[in-house]
Amino acid sequence: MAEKMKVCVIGASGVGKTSLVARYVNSVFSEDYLRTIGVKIDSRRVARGDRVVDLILWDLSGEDEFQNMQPAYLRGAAGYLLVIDGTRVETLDTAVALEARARETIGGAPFIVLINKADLEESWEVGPPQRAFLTKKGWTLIETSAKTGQGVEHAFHALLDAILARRESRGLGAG
Amino acid sequence: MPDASSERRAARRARSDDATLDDVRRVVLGPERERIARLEARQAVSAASIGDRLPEAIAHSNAARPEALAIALEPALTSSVRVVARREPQLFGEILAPTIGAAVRRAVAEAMAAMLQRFDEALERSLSVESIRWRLEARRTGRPFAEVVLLHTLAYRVEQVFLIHTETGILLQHVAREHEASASPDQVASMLSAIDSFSRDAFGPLPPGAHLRRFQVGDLFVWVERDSMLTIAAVVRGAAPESFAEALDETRERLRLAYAAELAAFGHDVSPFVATRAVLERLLATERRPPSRRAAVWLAAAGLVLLVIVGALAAVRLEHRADEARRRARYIEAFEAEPGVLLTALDRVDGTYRLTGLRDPIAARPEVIIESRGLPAAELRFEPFHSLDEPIVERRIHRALAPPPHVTLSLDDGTLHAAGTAPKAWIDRARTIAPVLPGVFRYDDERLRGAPPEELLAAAARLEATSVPFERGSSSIAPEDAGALATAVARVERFLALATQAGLPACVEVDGHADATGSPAANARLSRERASRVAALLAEEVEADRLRGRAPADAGRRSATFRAELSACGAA
Repeated sequence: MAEKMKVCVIGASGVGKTSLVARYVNSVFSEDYLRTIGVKIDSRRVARGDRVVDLILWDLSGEDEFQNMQPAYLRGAAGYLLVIDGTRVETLDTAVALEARARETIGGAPFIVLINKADLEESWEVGPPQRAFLTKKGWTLIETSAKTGQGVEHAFHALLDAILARRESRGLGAG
Repeated sequence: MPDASSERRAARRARSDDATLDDVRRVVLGPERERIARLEARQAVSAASIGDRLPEAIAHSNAARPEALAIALEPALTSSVRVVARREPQLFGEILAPTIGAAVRRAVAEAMAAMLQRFDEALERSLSVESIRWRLEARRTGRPFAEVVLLHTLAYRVEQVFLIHTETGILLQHVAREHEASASPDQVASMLSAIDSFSRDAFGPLPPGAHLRRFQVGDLFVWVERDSMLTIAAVVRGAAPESFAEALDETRERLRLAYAAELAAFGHDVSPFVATRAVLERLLATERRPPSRRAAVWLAAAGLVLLVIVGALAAVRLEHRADEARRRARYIEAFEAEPGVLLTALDRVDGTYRLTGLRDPIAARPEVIIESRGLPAAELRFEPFHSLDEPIVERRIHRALAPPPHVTLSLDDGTLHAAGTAPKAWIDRARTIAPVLPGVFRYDDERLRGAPPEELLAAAARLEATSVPFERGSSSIAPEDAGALATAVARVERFLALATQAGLPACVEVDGHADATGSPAANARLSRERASRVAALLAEEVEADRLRGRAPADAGRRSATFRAELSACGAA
């Protein structure tokens, strides 16, 4: 069985999405696409157990006051990574808003929240209360650092596992 | 143990229960039961009726939507053929036998035609300006020349085809020509999908179904056809005709129908679409452009240029030959005009002329002849000989005889005539040499006289400068003038002696003179007397017949003077 999945990476501007993706893949296309058409696409083949999946990563340009994420780019995504900058608490608000927009477009697709810049933990603003707020919503949180690579592989694989698990459960439900 | 009445009661109750259940069923499920009964009845009918109406149904469908029917039947027919071929290969062979020979022949003919066409093109383009440009391009880009030619002679070539799931942008299948595949087809497919989304958002609102259909990058065109389920994109090098879009869309429609179920259920698994490869590969076509008229024009021009060059070369060659002939003629003419030189052969050796012949040693030198005529220097091989050309014979005579100034020589039909005066020694030498000179057969010197020797002429001059003075009015010589008389006598003797020695006749004239005084008659007489007086005195010493007295009528000094003549005295 050959499987391919579209996975998006979204988050506020400057949270380190592109650096996270760059940690995970060898890029073919230039980052200029992000600034021009708002998306950069990469891919990586991942083995999970006896399955081999081609992840097609859509790195969507950051959401800020000048630029809005194109919801059309989310269409068809099997899941997504929602990235927060641990040193800027306002990026959490953006993430909440983005999740709502994503839900409108792709329903209840699985996603993982990445609290990035774990290497700068001393200047973190996303503290236990904020984490508790997110966990209460049922969201999975993973701390990552694009700089050190901490948690990056784990985050992508956790998302892939969530997607596969969801598909299994849906498959069982349908049977 | 239960009794019989109780059993009957129980049976009655059961019947009553059944009736009640039946009633309930009738009330609750009445309509459904009727519908089920209707459906059962209809199903029984339709199996037969479909069989009856199938031919008409197929005919109708074929007329209304021929392609849809063909596409729908294709898998079933393909499976049937496959089953028959597997189960009864012999039957299949019998069916195919009549057609297979023709098919092979046709394939071979087509391959030959294609090869000839390529060969033709290669020939047609081998001389063109284009081909030179392409060769330079091949050198510059490091591509094989054949590939560069192919790229330039292509009308279009489909290099890649992407089959994409529209909603997710996930690549379902990808086919590409060898060496033409993108670096990452998965990413390209997603990027195409993103660009499509981007352009619709950027330029919207657009009518439903509007999408990015075509874009161009250099000489690459990307053609896209899509619907909500399936997107097909082709990367084409060169300009394909509009009908290519139809072919592309038809393929998409065909796949959409064939894979309707798989597309509807598509999650992440792309393996069901492996079989689309064969269909997509059919799109990887190449159309070649016929050689342009320009190529023919260039060919004609090149032919013309070649013709001109060949013509020019021929003209140059002809001109060269004419030039050569002219030059040879000039050599021959030059040597023919020159006496004493005979040209026997004229060859061209290693680009230079070689002249062979005979040359009289006293004739002009061949190199001088050539140079004076402005002819190119040549190798010269001349042997000496004696020429009988008249000018050479004359030159030879003059060289051999070296005639003195008063001798004239003339050659007349082999006879050499000598005239004038010459020293006796020369005359004697000439008589010895002249008759043996080549070209001289006879020597005639009858008109040649011996010339007086210098000594004689000097003696004559001294004599003529001598005078003997006389006394006034007398023919007597004063005693003091006796010395002059003696001198005169000695000089006369000397002159006559030398003349005799030279074998020449001689005559001494004695002229008597008188001065201006006195009558002319008396003077004439006196002059005569004076001449006679001196002559008489001389006659005592020399032969009188070699003396002659004269009395010229001139007024001069009282004297006698002398004239020395180299002729006999009576001859005058």
